[in-house]
Parts: sequence; C-alpha cells; structure tokens
Amino acid sequence: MKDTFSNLDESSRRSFLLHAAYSTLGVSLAPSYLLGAENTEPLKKPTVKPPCERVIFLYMKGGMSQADTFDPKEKGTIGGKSKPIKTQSPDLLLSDQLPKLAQQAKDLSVIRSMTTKTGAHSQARYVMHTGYRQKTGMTHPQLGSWAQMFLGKSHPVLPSSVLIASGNPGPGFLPPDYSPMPIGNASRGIKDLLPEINQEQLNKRVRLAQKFSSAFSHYFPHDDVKAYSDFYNQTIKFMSGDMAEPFDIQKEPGNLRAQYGNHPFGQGALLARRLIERGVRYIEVTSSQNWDSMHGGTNSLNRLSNELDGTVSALMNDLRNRDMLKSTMIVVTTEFGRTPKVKGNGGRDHHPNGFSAMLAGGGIKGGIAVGETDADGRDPFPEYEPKDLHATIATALGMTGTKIRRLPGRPSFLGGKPKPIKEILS
Amino acid sequence: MRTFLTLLFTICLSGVAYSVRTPPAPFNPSKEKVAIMRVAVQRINQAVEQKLIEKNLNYNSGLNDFLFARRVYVDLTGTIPSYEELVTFVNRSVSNKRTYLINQLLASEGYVSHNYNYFADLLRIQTKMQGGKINSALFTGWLKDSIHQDKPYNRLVYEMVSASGSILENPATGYLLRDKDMKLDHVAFMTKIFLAKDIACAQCHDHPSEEWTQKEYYAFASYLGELEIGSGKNIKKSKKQKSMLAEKEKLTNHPTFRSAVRSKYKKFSVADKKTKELKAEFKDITSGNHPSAFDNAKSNLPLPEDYQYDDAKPGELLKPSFIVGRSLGGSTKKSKREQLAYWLAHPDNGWFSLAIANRMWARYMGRGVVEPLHDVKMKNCPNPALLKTLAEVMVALDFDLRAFSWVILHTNAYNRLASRKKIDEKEDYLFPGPILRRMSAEQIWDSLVTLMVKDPLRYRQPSPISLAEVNDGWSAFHFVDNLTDEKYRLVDSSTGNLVLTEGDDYTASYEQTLMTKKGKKSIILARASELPQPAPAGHFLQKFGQSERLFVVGASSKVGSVPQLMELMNGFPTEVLTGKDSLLFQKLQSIADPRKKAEVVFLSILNRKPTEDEKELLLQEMENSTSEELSDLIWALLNTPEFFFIK
Repeated sequence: MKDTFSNLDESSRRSFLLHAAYSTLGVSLAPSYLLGAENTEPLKKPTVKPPCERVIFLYMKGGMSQADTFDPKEKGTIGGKSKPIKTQSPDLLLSDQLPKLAQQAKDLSVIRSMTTKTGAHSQARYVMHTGYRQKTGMTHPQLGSWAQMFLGKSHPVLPSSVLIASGNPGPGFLPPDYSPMPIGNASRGIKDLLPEINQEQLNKRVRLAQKFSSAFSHYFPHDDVKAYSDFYNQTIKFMSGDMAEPFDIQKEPGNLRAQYGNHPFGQGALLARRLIERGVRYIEVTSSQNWDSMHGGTNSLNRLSNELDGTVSALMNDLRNRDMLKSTMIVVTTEFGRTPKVKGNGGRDHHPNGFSAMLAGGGIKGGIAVGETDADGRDPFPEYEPKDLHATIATALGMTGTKIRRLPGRPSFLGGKPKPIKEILS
Repeated sequence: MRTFLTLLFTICLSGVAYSVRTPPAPFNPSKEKVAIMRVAVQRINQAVEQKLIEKNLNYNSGLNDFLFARRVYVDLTGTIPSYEELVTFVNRSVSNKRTYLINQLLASEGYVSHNYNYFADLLRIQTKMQGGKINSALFTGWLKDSIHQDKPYNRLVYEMVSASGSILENPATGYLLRDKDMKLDHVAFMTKIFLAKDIACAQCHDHPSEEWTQKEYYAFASYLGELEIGSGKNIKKSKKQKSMLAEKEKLTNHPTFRSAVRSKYKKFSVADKKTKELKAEFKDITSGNHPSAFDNAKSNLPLPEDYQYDDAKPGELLKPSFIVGRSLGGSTKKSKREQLAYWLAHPDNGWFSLAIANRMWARYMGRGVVEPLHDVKMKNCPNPALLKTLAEVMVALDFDLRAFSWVILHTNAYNRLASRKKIDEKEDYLFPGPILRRMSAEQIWDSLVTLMVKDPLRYRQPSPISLAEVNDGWSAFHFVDNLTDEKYRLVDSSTGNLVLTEGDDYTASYEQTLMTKKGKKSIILARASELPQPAPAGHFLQKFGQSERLFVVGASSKVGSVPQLMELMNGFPTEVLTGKDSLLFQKLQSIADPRKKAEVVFLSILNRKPTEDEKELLLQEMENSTSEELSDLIWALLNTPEFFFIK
C-alpha cells in the first residue's frame, strides 16, 4: 500500500482517484440532500479539460487600497502619493507601488469594479470568502469546499483545499470531509498534527490495529467498513514521512525562499506552490501585513505594497518557470477598498463601494482591466460582487451546470445568483 | 470588617447550590401496558416475518450475550458497557436476563443523556442561539427534565408548539425562539420532524412533482401567523404576576445581593458598578424585557408580494388549514397556535404517530421502515403493514418512548446480527436484522469518556435557576448573573457545586476526573450532552460528525475522514485514554496475570473476548503486558473499525 500512489502514472492515478472517490469511499459524492431536485443525477463531469486546474487565493487582510495598487488615478484627481505607471501590457496601468507586477502584466488582469454591501471587516470578509452575507445560525462553505463537491477530491491522500494563516472556518454546511485543512504557520507545516510518539512505536500500533481489524472486516464485507479501512490507510500514509514532505518548505532552496519574501505571507505562498504542485486544488494564503493600518496614513504603504508586489511576482515567476502558471489561477483580493480621498492625517477609510481584484494565470486573459471606478475613484461600473468573482473562478475550474440546493431545501446556485465575469476569462 | 465580609461570602457561597442528581423515573409500566407491549412485539414480529417469508428470506443469525449487551448499552445509554457491567451481565444465569437489562437501562441516567442528544440533533439545539441573546440552557434543562420524568412524546411536542411567554417562565418556548426571524423555515422543519413531510419547496413556488402548492404552504403556516418572538414587554400581566415581580425585584436591594456581586468581582470599585448594572438588568428582565414567544392578534402571515399563481392574490391572508389529514376537533376559541399543537399531537393524527414510530425504528434498526425519515411517501414503503403496526403501537402506548423502545428491543428483528453487506439506499430492506451502524459521534465520545473516568455523568450542565426559585438576595444575583453572563458551566451533580466556568483558568484545582490538561491541550471529560452544543470546531465530536445544528434536521454524519482518524490516532483524548491515569489503565494495575490484562482490554473496548488467532498474537506481542504494551494494545483496539460499529 505504501508506495502504490507514488508509483501510479498520471492517468492511472486519476482513474484511481475517480474509483476511490466514486465507488469505494463514497465521500466525494455530495450528500444526497445537497443535490438537485431529483437527487439522482450524478454531478456532471466537465467534458473538456477546464482551463484552470488549481487556484491560489491571496487575501489582503484589512482592506487593500485599490488606488495605491490596481486602480491608480492620475495625480491630482484623487488623494495620495501613488501614480499610475506603464506596464508590460499597453492596456493596463498599475500603481507605481507595484513595479515588479508591472513587468508581468501580460499575464495578469484586474477587475476594478468590485463592490460589497458592508463596510464592517468581519462581515465583508465573510462575504468575500463565501459569496453569501452572514446570517445567524448558518455557515456557508468556502470555494475550496464547493470545488471538492463539484469536482471530487483532487488527490487521494492530500486534502483538496488548504488554508494558510487563514483561520479554520470548517466546511460550512457541508460534511466534515469537505473541510479545508488549516495550517497556522507555513514554516511549521503540519508538524502539530503529527503523532508525538516515535515512528517505531506508531508502526507497531498500526500493525497491531490492522491485525485486530481483520476478523471484523472479514465477517462484514460491508462498504462502510471498507471505507473506514481505506481512510485508515490514507491517514497512515498521510502521517508517514513522505506525505508530510509536501508540507515541508524547508526542502525548498534558500534563494527561492528569499525571493518569496522572508515573512509569513511569502513563505505561505511558497508552501501554496509546493502543495499545488503535489495535488492540492485550492489554497488560500492571507497577507501578513494588515491593510487596516492605512487609517493612520500612507506611511505604511511601502511596507504593504512591497509585500504584495514581491510575493505575488515571485509566485508568478516560480509557477511560470515550472510551466504551471497557465493552469493555476492566482487571485489577489480583499474584503473592501479604501477611500480615494485621503483624510486630514493622510489616511484612507473603508470603501466597500468600489475596490479591485487581480486575477492571473490559468483561465485568465492577461493584460486587461475589466470594469472601472468613476473619475473620482468612487462608484464602480459595472458592479461585480464577491459572488460574481466566485462564479468566475468556479467557471474557470469547470464547476458548471450543477444546481446546488441551498438548505433547508430551496434551490439556489453557488453564492446566490452570480454572473461569471466572462470578459476576463480566456 | 474584612474578616466579617469574607465570612459572609463563604456562607453565601456554600448556602446556594445547584440541584443535586436524582434517579430518572423508574421503568415500571402498568400491567395493562405490559400486556400491550407483549402483544405489540408479536404483531411486529408477524409483520416482519410475513414479508421475509414472501421474499423467501431468513433472519440473520442471533446475538450472543456479549453482542447483545454491547448493542443495548450503546442504544439505550449511549455508551459501550464497562468491563464490570459486561461481565456481570454475561455471568448472570437467570432466564430473562435480557429483559432485566433492558428495564434497568431504560431507567438509567445514560438513557436521559443519550435521548437528549437525539432530540438536540432533531431540534437543532445550539448553546448560543441568536448570537448568544437567548439562553438555551433553560430550554435544554427543560428538555432533559422532560425525558427524565418520562413525559409522553406527544405531550412534549404539544408543550413546545403551544408554548407562550418568556423563556424564564416557560422554558419550552426555547423551541420557538430557536428559529426567531425564520418562521417560514420553521414551518418546514416542523413538518419534517413531526409529520414526516418535506414541504420546503412549496415555501417559494408550486412544485411540479410534489403534492403541495405554495398556497397550501402558507395556509398551513398561517397557524403560526400570530406568533411573535421578541421582548415580552407588551405581554399583559395579571395583578398577581405584577406584584410577584415587584417582590422579586425588591430582593436586589437586600445586602446579600451586593455581597454576592462582590464575591464574584472581588474589587470593590468594580463590584459597586456591577451591582448597579445587575440591579438595572434585573428590573429590565422582570418588566418583561426578555426573549419571549407570544401571540399577537394583529400579526399575520400573508402570501408574498410576488405570489405568481391565479388561485389567490399577492399579499392575501389565508384561512389556516392543515397540510395533511383533517381537523380533529378541539376548541376553535383557542389561539391558532394552540389549535395547531392540539391537532399535531393528537393520537388520531396518523402522520404524527407514524413519523415518530418510523424514527424510533430507524434509531434501533439503522434504517426506517421507509426512508427518508423526514419525507415519508407510502408508495415507497416496502412493508406498509409493519409501518402501520408501529404507528398503532405508538398510539396504544400513549407515546411512551421508553415502552416503545422496550418493544422494539424485544422484537426478533432487533435480536439478530446486523446484515453483513451494505444495503443501498434505494434498495428495499425487509429487516432480517438491523443494518450495520456506525456509532454516532456522541456514542463514540461518550464511550471514550466512560473508559477514561468513573461516572462522567456526575458532571452536568446546570439549568439556570428560574425566576420562581429566586427567594433571596443571593439567588437574585445568581439568577441575573446567569442570564447576563452566559458562560458555559459545569456542576458536580452529587454535591450541587459549580466546578467549572468557561474562561476560568483550568489549572485551578479541578478534579482530575473533570478536566485534563497538558501544555496547551485540554479536554473536559464530560458526556456530549453536557458539553457546549454543538461542540466547538476541532472538537472530537465535530470531527466524528456531530450535527452543526444549523439548517438541516438530523444533519449528523457517520462518514469517515482523514482528520477524523488523525484525531483518533494522535488526538489528546486518545493520549489520555492510553495514559496511566485513565480509568481503564488503573483497572489493569490491579490485575497480576498479563493474559488477564489483555483480556480485560479486549472486553472493555470491543466488548468481546479475543479470538484464538488474536490470543496467539497477544502472546507474541504482549509478552509481559508492560505499561507500554498495554498502551499500544488500547490504542490498537480503539483504532479498529470494529470499535465504532454496532454489529
């Protein structure tokens, strides 16, 4: 069992995955209460390979200032010290705070007319992560969990979605197996989940457990029992050295680690790339800098934008070098924007009305800006809500055509009734 | 002065305690009822056997004493039996010892805890409802008491659906308060749980393939049209009530009220401020400003503004009518909600008795006579005679769930080994035995806790004291403090003393048996029914599929996952159980014979003796039964699928 997975070639690995997901384990199948009206239709598998196979969602916590990043205005029209600069793409201007990304602008595009209904951090953060407004007594799944439901598990052993420094929101109303795996500290990886006893003792215990399991498994050739045996095998595999390896960024070369940036966000992005490369589908990494510090003025701006510019450009370069950028989508966004006008102290307030998101790589048409804010940098047009952004990502991943029944039983689509932003998709 | 005050605090503290445990109502049905129970067993056997014969099927093989004991303990008390309980039962040589055991367990504290878990799942009980504004502990306390006192099921439902007033005066209102601001959804939950009908689609539109129209949905929901949930300030109070409330309020002026505040807040300056705040709070509450359910004749539930069909106009008010069946009489002068409750819980309401009978059958057999439990259609039922019989038995036994459980546990079908292969959901199942069930998250957790510590049910979540119990300054403080500072608490039910409050430093001298801590890790060794509802994210219970108690009735899951098994393999509960302080480990200390030690571990965890092959393996691997070897054995047996399946 131990080496089965690593020895399989790609196509047999995929078929094993399907087999494991659909027949043996039964876990990738959505619970019947969540499926469409008839409950009998299997989830539709995309017939064509989707343009995007994986997503790295980079979250700028605290409200990223669009005017200082992806939606710069000519000096004088609005406040602040940022100004637009030319980029690799003639159709896209970025702020002078993002010189490294400007050099890769052919591969990235910007949505400049994002809008959200609330200016409170925690509620806006919830909307950006689920597509839904927060409601008492209800937790919605995040996109990685939805993707697992639509597309199945992305790897037989590794989790399908991972959250790095992004809390532990759980699977929402989906069953526990749809829960993203939370990782607090990228540098520590999954060390805290692993057994404290030595490998030798663990091996002995596992060997005993397997022997004591045989009588029961033999008498009950039952799918549920087999599913548990398989989960045990997966878990043991997961805990053994080679499955902890994907989570160990100490294995990355030192110069690469430095390029990503010597801070939790940079190291998190590096871990994200490492995991994506090994079969995880959806990863979120939260910035280490807090954009809410912009209340106090733009003095912190260099610190904020350097982290963003340095890490995201390093990630794009690294993925391009590995020929993975065209199949991996990178999303950079935040809960809401910052006012275009500056306050007396030079700071910027919350601005839910209009803000930006950056999308790059798999499934994304590069080098363009979609939507705009008006000349004062205020009202967005056309308005795109977080659920529309989700639908765009979902479309690129090939998650189309399946109705999700929102509980307690009313039919509904992912994130309400969203419109995918077609112009930005390649 | 200081000495005097300290003394006063001590007296106050020791003077008031939470209620002390009392045994549940004994299971002692009348002769007439026993006669009905015996006939019921025969009739159910006939109904099952007729179908089996028709399809040329046999029952599965029978259960030996070990398997029987494990199953009934898990099914009735929510945990596997202890080594002593198991051995005592197996060694008994009375002919009807199985009936004795069932009778005994039906009157156990474990039964109350386990049944509470079942209803908590069904009713989606959360410790913190409505963002913590409603204290659900009053409701859960009431529910546990109702089970404890053996309240008939239809009575329980009647009390919840018709409940009026503040949750302080009538805790049953917690059922309605749970779904504040979601009345239409509440109607859909109610029909799923109590009538086995899923009408949710008709909430928004006529459903082409379903029986109900949107108009019918609203007509049924209109029974709740006058229901309002909010502050009870405007509820009219009688003179007597008013004077009672005024009397209670005066108690906050008593010096003991102030001393009680000081004993909690230590610093004089803080305590003085708090005294004022709590007095004001008390006044607010007694003036009726507390979550309440009441009827307001001016409220109604019209059709939505976007109503799209020709049979009624948008915004029209409908005459209430039942979604299934017919009216069963009763006073039309009563409030609409009381009329609904009367009809719902009436013994002649066939869907009501059928729904609970089918649910109870599914609890013990792993599957309803017809599925899904929340949406029964007779055309899908492979054995209508059995379903009809069960519903009739439910009515004949006056909705006594203990007597009904007794009946199911005595049927031939229950007393068989579980079916060996998985039965597809779509496949008809005719009950040659129960299906193979994984234990619920609560059963697994409670079983582990029972292996770790002695008498875990000693620790209970207390019911906050009710307004009626407020009779001096101290209890007035206690009352208002509980309501305004809704921290999770545990009480030692054998003494009535508060032993744990959320947020306290757990390193304080709590008893080892309640709280275990190592570094940053800690667990409360209480049963699932006494932990926060639902257990917090990352808790063992959550990983094993405890319901989130959100938007789905019976959303608990029995599916495995990698994080779940990592918890069982590496988690803190396993570390505690395999450690030297666990109850199981301590039992082993007193046994000298190494072989006997291994056998006790087997009997304690899998509740069976090792097979010949396993004995040989034990001889090889457990030569000396050292502590480390025993830890390894406990770990290994916990991590076999056999541990959490009910054979």
